[in-house]
Amino acid sequence: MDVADGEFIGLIGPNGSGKTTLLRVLSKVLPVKSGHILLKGENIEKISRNNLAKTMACLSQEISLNLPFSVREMTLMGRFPYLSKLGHETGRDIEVAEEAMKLADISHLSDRLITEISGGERQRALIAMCLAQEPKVLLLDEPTNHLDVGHQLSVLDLIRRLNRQTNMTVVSVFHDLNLAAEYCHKIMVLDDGEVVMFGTPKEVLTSEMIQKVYGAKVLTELNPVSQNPHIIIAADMNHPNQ
Amino acid sequence: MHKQKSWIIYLVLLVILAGACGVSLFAGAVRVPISEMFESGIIQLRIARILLAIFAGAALSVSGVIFQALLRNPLAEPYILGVSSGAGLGASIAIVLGLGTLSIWALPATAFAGAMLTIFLVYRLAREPSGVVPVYTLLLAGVIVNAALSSILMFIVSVSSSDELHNVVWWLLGNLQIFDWQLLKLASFVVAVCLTVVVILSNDLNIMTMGEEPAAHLGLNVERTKKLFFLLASLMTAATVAACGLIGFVGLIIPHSVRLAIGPDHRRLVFASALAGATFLVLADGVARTIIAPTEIPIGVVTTFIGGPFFLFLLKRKKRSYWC
Amino acid sequence: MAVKKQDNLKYYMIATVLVAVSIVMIFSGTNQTPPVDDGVNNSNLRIVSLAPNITEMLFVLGVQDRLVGRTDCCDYPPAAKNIESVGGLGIANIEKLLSLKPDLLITPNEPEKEVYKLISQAGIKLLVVQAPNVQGMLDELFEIGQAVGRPELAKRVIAEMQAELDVVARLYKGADHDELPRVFIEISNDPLVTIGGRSFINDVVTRAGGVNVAAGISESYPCINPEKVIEWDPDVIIPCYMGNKENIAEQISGRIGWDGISAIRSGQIYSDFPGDLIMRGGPRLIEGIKILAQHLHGKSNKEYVVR
Repeated sequence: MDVADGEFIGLIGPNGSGKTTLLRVLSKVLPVKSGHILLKGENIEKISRNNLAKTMACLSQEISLNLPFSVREMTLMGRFPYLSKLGHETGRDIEVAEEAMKLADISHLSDRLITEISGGERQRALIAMCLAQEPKVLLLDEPTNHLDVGHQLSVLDLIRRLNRQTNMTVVSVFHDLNLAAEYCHKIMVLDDGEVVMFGTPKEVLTSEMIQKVYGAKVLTELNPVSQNPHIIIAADMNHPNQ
Repeated sequence: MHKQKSWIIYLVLLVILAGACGVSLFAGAVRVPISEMFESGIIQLRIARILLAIFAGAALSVSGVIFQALLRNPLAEPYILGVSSGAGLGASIAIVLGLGTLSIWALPATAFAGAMLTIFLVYRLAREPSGVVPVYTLLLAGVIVNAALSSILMFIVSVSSSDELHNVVWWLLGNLQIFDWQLLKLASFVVAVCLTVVVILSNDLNIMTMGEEPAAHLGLNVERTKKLFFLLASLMTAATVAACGLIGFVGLIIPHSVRLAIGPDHRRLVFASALAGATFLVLADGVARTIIAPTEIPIGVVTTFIGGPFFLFLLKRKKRSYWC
Repeated sequence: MAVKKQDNLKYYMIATVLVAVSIVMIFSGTNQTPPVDDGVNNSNLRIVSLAPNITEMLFVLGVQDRLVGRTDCCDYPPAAKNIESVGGLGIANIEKLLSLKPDLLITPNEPEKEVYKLISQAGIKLLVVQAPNVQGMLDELFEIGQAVGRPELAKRVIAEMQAELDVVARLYKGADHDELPRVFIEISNDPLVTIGGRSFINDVVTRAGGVNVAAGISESYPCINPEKVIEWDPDVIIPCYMGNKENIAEQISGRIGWDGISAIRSGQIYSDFPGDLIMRGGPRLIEGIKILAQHLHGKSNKEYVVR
């Protein structure tokens, strides 16, 4: 499986299919059991964690934000792999962080506390933190989880913008198949820890695949604007007798 | 970040600490003219005691900061997690076995062993197979291990008729009496070394507050960092327990108040908490030894008496967030 | 079931060594005058003692063969260890106690109501003895002597003890209060605990011809600030804890700021003093007072006996 520079890849699959586990393996949080993961031709097992963090940023769902850090402080934490052990930021670190906040469109919130802003703003702040790592690859685990539709779109628009403007490779877990279809170049379907399909949204998101992998009967049609596949749910198709 | 502001904070805290030491130096069970204080040896006793209070206060509050950051739990504290009790049990066993008279290292070493075993046990009990350590499970594990350790201690106390044990009971209540420069040197050396390492590596604590996975994503070697900080916090707790017995609450209220005043950045929080904790314990000991002088009350009573209501006040002031 | 209040645990642990006692109380309902005949009618009396000092007194009165129960702490004289134990000091097992079918229970503390009910239902006589000082101990000995049918022997023993005390008092007779050696008794060294004016050990020191420097403190066993000891400047320091006392004198002399204390400058740290003699308000107090007085007033053993 190859992911080219600047691609936006979606990972989908039913609960427990191994999407998050795959991200953890990709980001070296979990060890590789078989096979290899190569990043620009180099085995990630051989790259130090610190160097990996300069190339690859990951926004996991397991983040706890209990302490009242400001958005600027959070963003600056993205500079961690570049700091000396003493942990003092240089002028360049602050510049990069300011730029990251600008890109993530949260500069106006830089002095607000991470504990006090909305869920959508928080995701954007965390993306700013990832951007401060100056990564070539961005891994995201359901970045729009728990967000309302407005914030979902604003976060995904931001990610797409980054992907297009900076040619950053994005690999993101999606829960919502329609969002995956709209934003991704390619989609990988996982089921029970195995890759079942990998291709463009049109190739992958078929009602047959969804019936097989998710065990749900749905209709697919094309989005009239983007011409991407769109899933239509009809309750009566699954349980006609209820 | 905020470099200048940090120095102002440290300066203010240092001045307050110096003031507390000054007050403490000239208050005590005995009222004598300054000239006589030098002649009689009272000044040496008070200086030794103030130094012990400084190191113990700094150690306890920084241990609190570490446990709170590592376990991402605002209520984590050496006393609540049972680490203090573990150290106390270790030291008590040393006293009962008569190891204390063999070497000056015996008591601190057994206290350290007890502290490390306890934090290991509590952590293991609370950890789920996935590696996650849920906040409430951890607290519960701490409470249960704490209760178990107390009952073991009570068991030892009740089955033995050794007089050393009655010393243990008094000693466990917490007391900053110091008779021996050697013990003070040992405890302060351990605390000073640990504190320096924690201050140097304090930014790692910032990263650890986000959780183990995000910290790994930022390039931190999580397992190594976690082990190192648990070791440092246990060492400091053990050194304090060996020198002064059990003193609760310092590790809880000091980091909270300091966070409230200067924010959560550990690069400032660690050293500021050390200074504030030192000030708090110097003052608390001043109260303990003067309030019904010449009789002393256990310092643990004072810290809890001041700390309890203060903590409730903090909670009430900002109900929504435990942390600040 | 425990014969004590839970929150008194700490007190009892301290009491294990110290047997802190403050009021003499005889339980009125049980205070019938026993037969004066020395033991004839009481040879089948079954006694349980709930404190080590009481056990020691029963041995002095020669009724140890009637003692059927003791506490874990009753370890003197060594023969006491052969007697069945009913539990720790202050935490006697009431079932065990009742199973021994005693006629007389002698205890340092008034039992709780329910326990008292059980005891009286079982027809057990109760004697509560709490001596505040040396005289109280002698009175207590007489009460116990009466209760176990040895009043005459008790009187004789008390008279002997009184005589010994009188001999001791002669050692320092006529001395001005200011001339008497000022004594600091150390019950625990970490933290520092001494004896206050209300402790019976204070009376022991006084009778031995010393002045307890901490007599002005009202608590019995106060935890004391070490700088206060510097101010008191005692002539003699007596460590009274057991365990390893090998280098205790060096330890005390080496304490921060204590080098100016008179006792330390003159080497008057009495680390050989058998502290266990005075830790219990029992008959061995007299021996303890004798030894302490000899030490304080520099009389050799021989000289003392001749007197």
